[in-house]
Amino acid sequence: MDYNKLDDDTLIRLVARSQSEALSVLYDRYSRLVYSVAMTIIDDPSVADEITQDAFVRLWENAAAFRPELGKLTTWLTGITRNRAIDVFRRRKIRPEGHAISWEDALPEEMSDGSNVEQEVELAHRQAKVRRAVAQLPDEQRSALALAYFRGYAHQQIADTLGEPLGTVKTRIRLAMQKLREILKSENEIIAG
Amino acid sequence: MTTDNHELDLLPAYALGSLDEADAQRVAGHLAACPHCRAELLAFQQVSDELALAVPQVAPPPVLKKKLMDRVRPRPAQFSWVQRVLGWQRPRARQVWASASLALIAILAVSNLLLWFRFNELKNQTLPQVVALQGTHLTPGATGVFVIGADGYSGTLVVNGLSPLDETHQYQLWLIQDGRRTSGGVFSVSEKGYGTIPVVSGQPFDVYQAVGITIEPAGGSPGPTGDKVMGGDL
Ligand SMILES: [Zn+2]
Repeated sequence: MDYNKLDDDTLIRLVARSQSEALSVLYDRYSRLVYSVAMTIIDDPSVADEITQDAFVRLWENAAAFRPELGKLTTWLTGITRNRAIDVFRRRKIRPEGHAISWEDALPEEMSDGSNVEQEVELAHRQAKVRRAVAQLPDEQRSALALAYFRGYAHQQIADTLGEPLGTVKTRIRLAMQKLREILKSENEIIAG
Repeated sequence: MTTDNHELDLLPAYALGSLDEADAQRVAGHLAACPHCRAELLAFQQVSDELALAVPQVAPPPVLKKKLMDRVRPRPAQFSWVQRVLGWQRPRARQVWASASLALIAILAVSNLLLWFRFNELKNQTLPQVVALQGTHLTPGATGVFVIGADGYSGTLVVNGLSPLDETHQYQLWLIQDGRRTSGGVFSVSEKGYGTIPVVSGQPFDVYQAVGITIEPAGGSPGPTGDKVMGGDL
């Protein structure tokens, strides 16, 4: 059987039956995304390696309990990766603030070399959509949002980091999220129609 | 709690996890009583979830895949204490734990988990949430806990004192959001009435307000059809 042709939900069920080939395909499909989230937050290849491995080991061990109806696999993988990477960042005594944290402005260049065209197109499409949306935010909203998203900072920490009043930061975060929601919603409607 | 004063302005930051402590607590309190704000929160959580897709892409080193595949190759189980307690083990190892030691796990899970996590993770403010479940008039002696992992996406149900069912029936866990019930999985209990099931979700468990357990035909139902035997508020 060519596992590359199978969708995520089917592969997860196979992973639950300890089919390591199914995990291998999911890894090929999403390791780049998981690793990229970890690297953006922690900027340390050895830590990103460990977090990426752990995410897929957890998938291996928890696949039987995964409920596709409760959400997408990418959401689960990136959710635990983000939480874990922010947790590592918080534990660190030295905080490399020089590392630029933000989203990609450019469109995704290449896709992984798997052969499930449908799944790859869907992910690439979602990625392009979010990038276009983030690129439309004013710079000051995007940098406040980046500190919230990639650093796990609360409002006050963001205000301290940016040297801006607390109220200003609250407004920027709110406007950024509201605008992203609108853009993503309207894009989805265009696709649906 | 009235729903006249919504917390709409703070929901975007709540979804990101960037509210200061006092604000976060107030919003959480409001969300518990307000379906409108919960629906709004879900929309912002979806935005937050999608943000991960826009990070700059970096390919992991090729050797990483080999390391991973070596780790998942079948070998004697080596799990941490907490993984075992939470049921985060592979299916083949689960057989072992489904036997007599399950009773021990359930007791340990209920009595020690909070303490264990406080000891290990308090500094990082990533305590798991432990929710108590009560039996209904059908199952007055039943007790249980639903433990939500520190990541918010993984949980484990442990029950105690439920009657074993015949082989055509199983217990089914339901996650309840604004009256809608989503299956959290099906399980059976041992002769002594212990049962446990891991639940992994693609969305954080805090979108749900309650959990319930019903008796369903073996394999589970799309929605609850049988008697409710346990429940608890998240
Ligand atoms: Zn409200």
